Amino acid sequence: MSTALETRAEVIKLARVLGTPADQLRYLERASPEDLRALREQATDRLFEGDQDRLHKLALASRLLPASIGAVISRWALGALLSARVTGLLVPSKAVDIARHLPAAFLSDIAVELDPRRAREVIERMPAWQVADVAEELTRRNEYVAMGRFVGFLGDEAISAAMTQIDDAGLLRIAFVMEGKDRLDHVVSLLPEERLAGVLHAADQGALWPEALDLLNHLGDERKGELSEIAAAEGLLDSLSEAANADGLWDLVLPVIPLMTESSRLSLARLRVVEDRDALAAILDTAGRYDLWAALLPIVDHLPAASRDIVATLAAGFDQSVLERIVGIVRDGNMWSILLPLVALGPTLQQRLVPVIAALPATDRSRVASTAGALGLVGRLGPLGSVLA
Amino acid sequence: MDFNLGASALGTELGGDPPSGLLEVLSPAELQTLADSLGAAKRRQSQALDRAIEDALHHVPFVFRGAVALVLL
Repeated sequence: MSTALETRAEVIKLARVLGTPADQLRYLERASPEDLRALREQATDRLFEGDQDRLHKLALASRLLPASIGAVISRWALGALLSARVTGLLVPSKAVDIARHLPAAFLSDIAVELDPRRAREVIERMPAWQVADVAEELTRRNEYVAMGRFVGFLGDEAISAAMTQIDDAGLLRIAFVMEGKDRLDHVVSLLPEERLAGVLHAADQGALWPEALDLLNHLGDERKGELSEIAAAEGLLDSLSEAANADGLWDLVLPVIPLMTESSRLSLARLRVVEDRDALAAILDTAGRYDLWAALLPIVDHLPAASRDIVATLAAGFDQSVLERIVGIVRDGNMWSILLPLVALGPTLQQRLVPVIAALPATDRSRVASTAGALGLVGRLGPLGSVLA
Repeated sequence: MDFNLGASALGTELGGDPPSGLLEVLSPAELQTLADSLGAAKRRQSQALDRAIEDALHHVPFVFRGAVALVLL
């Protein structure tokens, strides 16, 4: 996962807690997302614990009154902030009764200020229709952070109802700042299939690929593959890969490659971005840093000739340990037919691989030699040929 | 600014030690700014509560007002 994306999401959420524009907290982007999350939870607890005695008295007073009057007091006297503070202190059934008497606009005001952790039971008991009404209003206000905090506390029926009211771009923005992203795979499974394509088009049209890639990163393998297939079928891979390159997010893209079908993987090799030397360097650098060679190697075979030349040149500059790692993966996956044509392109790469190949057991070198023979490359491997003999 | 002052101000506002990683990456002035932001948020909330409790009683029907006032005040 891109730490920069996690940090950005946490700064946005902390800004909401402090009532401060996120831009004014830019200095926090040097902190880790874990520290920012811990800070946000401490700050939230502090705010909710402040004035606790008076808030408890308000909750107690509400027991004396009918729900309809509680709603009037909530709306016209307490306001959204204090109603949110009191919600978690109310008897849950009473809170839900009061909520029934409140309009979606005011409930949305409360939702923005509420700490869902402190009102779990109230949220769980809210009827799906009312959750949907609030989601519609919060979407209209672009309150994605607020909605993202609730997803983990809502049942499937309420989530499904809410998602019908949220546009595709909104779903991406909510998923980005959502608490408990381990639930994202299940949440996405509740979406009708046709909306998945819509979500990806929203990423394309709204410059939301970082959000979409973050979402992808939190899905299970099966759904990752499904979404990447949709992206390929919808002709969105060029847009996706250019955004990944611009934002340095190859670490989120490369692990998905093995989950794609053969034809979609081949389409990756024809993207505009792989014709760019800097982009290829970034891809290879990411593969090295995150050990994603097994995902990347099968594509190399299908790159345009000019791109393969660039890859061979770049690979010649790899550290010895990286070359050893690549050769190890090639050996384990018997991918010599992919690596050898690439090696044939670069004399420097051939020279660099001599000690690595020479260190392989004889049986492996024999396999390399026979593959080279089958591909007609024996005479084109330069100094490497001598260690294969 | 003394590093400890910024960290201490933030700790006071949080009611406990701030995350240690934060102290490593933020300057004393930034820690102080963060503490000020949290302090301001707490003050806003407390002032709103004062106003709300005063207002609440005006919305309570006469028959309930005595009992509610007893609880609130």
